[in-house]
Amino acid sequence: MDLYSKTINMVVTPLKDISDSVNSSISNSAERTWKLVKGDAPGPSAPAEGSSSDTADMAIVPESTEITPPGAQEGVETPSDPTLEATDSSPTDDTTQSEATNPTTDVEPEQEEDGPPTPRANPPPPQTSETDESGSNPRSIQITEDYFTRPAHLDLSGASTLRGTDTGPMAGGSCPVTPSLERLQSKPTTALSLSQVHANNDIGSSRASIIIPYTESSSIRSLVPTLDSGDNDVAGMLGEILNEDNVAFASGYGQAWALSRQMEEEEELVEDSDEEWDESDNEDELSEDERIMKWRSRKKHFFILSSAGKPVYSRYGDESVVSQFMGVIQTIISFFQEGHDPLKSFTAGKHKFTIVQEGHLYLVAVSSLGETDAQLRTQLDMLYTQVLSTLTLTTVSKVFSEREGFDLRRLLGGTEVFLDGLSDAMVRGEPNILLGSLECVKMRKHVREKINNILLKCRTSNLLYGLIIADGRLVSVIRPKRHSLHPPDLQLFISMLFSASTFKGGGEHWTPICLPKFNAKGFLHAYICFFQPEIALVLISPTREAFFEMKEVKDNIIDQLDRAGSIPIIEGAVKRGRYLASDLIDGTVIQHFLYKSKANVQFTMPSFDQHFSSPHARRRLMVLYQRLHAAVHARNAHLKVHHSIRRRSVSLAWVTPTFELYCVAGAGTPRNVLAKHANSIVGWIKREEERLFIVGGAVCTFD
Amino acid sequence: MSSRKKVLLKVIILGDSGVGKTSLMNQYVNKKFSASYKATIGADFLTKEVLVDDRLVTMQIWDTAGQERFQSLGVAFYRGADCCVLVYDVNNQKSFETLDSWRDEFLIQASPRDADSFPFVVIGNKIDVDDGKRQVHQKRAMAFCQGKGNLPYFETSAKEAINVEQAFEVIARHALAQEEAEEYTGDFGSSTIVDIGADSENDGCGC
Repeated sequence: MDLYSKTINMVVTPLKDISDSVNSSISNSAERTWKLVKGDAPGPSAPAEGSSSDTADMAIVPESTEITPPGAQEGVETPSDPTLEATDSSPTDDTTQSEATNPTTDVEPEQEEDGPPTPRANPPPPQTSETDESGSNPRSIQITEDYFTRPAHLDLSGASTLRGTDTGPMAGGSCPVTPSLERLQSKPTTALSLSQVHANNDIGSSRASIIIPYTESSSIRSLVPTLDSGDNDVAGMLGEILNEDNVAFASGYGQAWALSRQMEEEEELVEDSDEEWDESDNEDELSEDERIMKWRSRKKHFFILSSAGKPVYSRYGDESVVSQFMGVIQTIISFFQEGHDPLKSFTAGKHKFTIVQEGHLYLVAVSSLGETDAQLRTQLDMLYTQVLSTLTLTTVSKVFSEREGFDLRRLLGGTEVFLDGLSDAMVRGEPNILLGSLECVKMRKHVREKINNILLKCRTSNLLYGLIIADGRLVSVIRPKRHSLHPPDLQLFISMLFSASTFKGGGEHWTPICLPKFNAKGFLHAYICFFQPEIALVLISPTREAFFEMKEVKDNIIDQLDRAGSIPIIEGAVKRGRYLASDLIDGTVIQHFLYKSKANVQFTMPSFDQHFSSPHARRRLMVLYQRLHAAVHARNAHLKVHHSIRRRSVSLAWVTPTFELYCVAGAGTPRNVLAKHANSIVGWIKREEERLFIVGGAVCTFD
Repeated sequence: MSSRKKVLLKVIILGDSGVGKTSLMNQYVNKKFSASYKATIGADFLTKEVLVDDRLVTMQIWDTAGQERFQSLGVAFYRGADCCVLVYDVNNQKSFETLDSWRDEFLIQASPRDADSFPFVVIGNKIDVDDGKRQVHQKRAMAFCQGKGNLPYFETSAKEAINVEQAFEVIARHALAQEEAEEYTGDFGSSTIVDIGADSENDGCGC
């Protein structure tokens, strides 16, 4: 065992993950990040010289090492009791401390330089006007920053106090633009110069328009939300600008602190307001104005449109509401294409717009839930994958190359339920999508092996993949040696099976399906049969005519499963549901956790019962996980352990080369207790690995 | 396949600044006319549902700015259109003469597959203004349309709602015809079947 020196790294960098650090705590310190640094000499001060990227790269967490370093705790003062800490003094303390003592802070500025976001990734929030909600004066235009702003009547008291936070130093942080000045200046006219995108409701028919100002005065300087107010024009000074910004951040920290309190309150407000999570679709009873208002008040939107600006899919809103918006979005996207510098994302008010362009399809996510760009991109990719699974890439490319104005809904017709199911899962927050992995039904190793062997024994030459899926979780998978099953394909499949009622209900189904990550160009054929209410057998064949063959395979499999007594075992496992965190450790402080096994691309978690049984509590938990995940997955984040204290919870994210663990405990849980229990969980999972995950074997694993 | 729900048609309105493109659209969609001139900046979007031969279609109308300085929107705007409406002011000779270049511009930017059969509709607007001021006579306009392959021609008044409905009905009809002309045949034939070759041998199991 090497010696591991441990340093505690206070996160003070404003740019890295501002949303999380801002929201981290209301009354005590900022985020605390521990980093275990492998060094030759022990002691926190040792790695000082090599503290740049070298050290960072070397930073690893040894398996089964205690994460709480007793020595390091003494080295840096950390308030153990949040409530005792004075609100305004602690941020300053943290800042100075980490600057003075922590060698690893050097890593942080560099990290910004490494990966400056695309200059135009975050253009200025298009000023948006909104119809006077009272309706008394439809001609008057009210300028707000946020097109999707919450309608007044849905607003909870207090939310309005947050207006203006955008102008504070936090705005720069939450919208991390590090514009490469050189690039921007060379093409001023391609900088987003939408000085006004306004929507205007005249009697019933809504209308959107887009305005591209041409005047020289609308230069980048005035349009791009610069982080720095100085006059540094030279691109080469970028580094300096960033450093200055850190200083600016430190000095503005006190102010930021007040804002962070507000933001957390806002966040809770958002999370607490159940009505806003209303996912009902009873829009028929509403007037057009109400529909538009409701549409705008959604926290998260997914759109798919064609490059001609024709709507392909929108989770919410009917065509009349959506189609102008599609026109505006198409125009904004296209405006940047001519410079061969595609628009990837921008922020307007509280909403982040993330755009993925796949050939002739544009996929857009608009979210106010605080996801990172990467997280939203993953979600958009899932939607794109779903479109391909219905149509194949071949078909999509063909129809659009023949006619750009093709109305793709014509071919997608009827499969919107699957897109809806996916969208809803992504609005709700699902661990499998967040972690990009699959969940298995926990069962004894020999039981699973028996089921696997039955599948293998019954297999015929036309069977490519065979799966048993129960309650959205995998029971057994067989695959040919030379073909792997890709998690996104399987996630999609599972979502299709369980989120819509199409396949449920006992009948047999034979459907062409494209598994895009396997082969986006063509169809496979899936035989689907729910032989028990929540248990499906899926047989995938490359042969279109193999229905009767697959039916026979299924009959054999069911027969043998029955004889082996496996069906009641699967049923029992589904009925029992997931284990509880308290089953693992008696009286554990950990209320819930997610554990992802990287090698198996699978995850496990305890039941949401006990602490997170209400949909509302679950959503809040998922938002927390999403933020933890973002913190340890930020570009160039070298974080291995991330500890976050909030008013309602204390949480921990721990990333190693083999696993990711996210766990949540009640407020006020001491760090060392949380760490100890996290370790116990990891130990338990290691012991139970073969029950929790589908492990080993050429056929039964995912590559 | 064609039994599915309504079709969305993308209609682009082009023409010189001040000929009444926005007014036509407003008259058609909102049944409203405003005498005060407000130049369109960039583009506006309006949607209207219409019945064409018992088929419900949605017209997504893209109203563009006539001023030259906004022309850079180019490809983005024209791309994938189902019908293009060329508007001029019958009291403005120049606006008529530029119709040809608007048409060319559209064909270059949008590059429809079959330029000759792409539907254009020509509208001469502002016929409510008294006859003495009229500069482009109907005959001349008709001759122009004839020469471009029998383009449908309408004389309208957005102000007095003359012929607007009728013009847009023809626009919708032509757009729909264009949209359906090359309707995807829905051939999910054997060309899209995955060939996995002889890979799926049975001895794959290592468990």
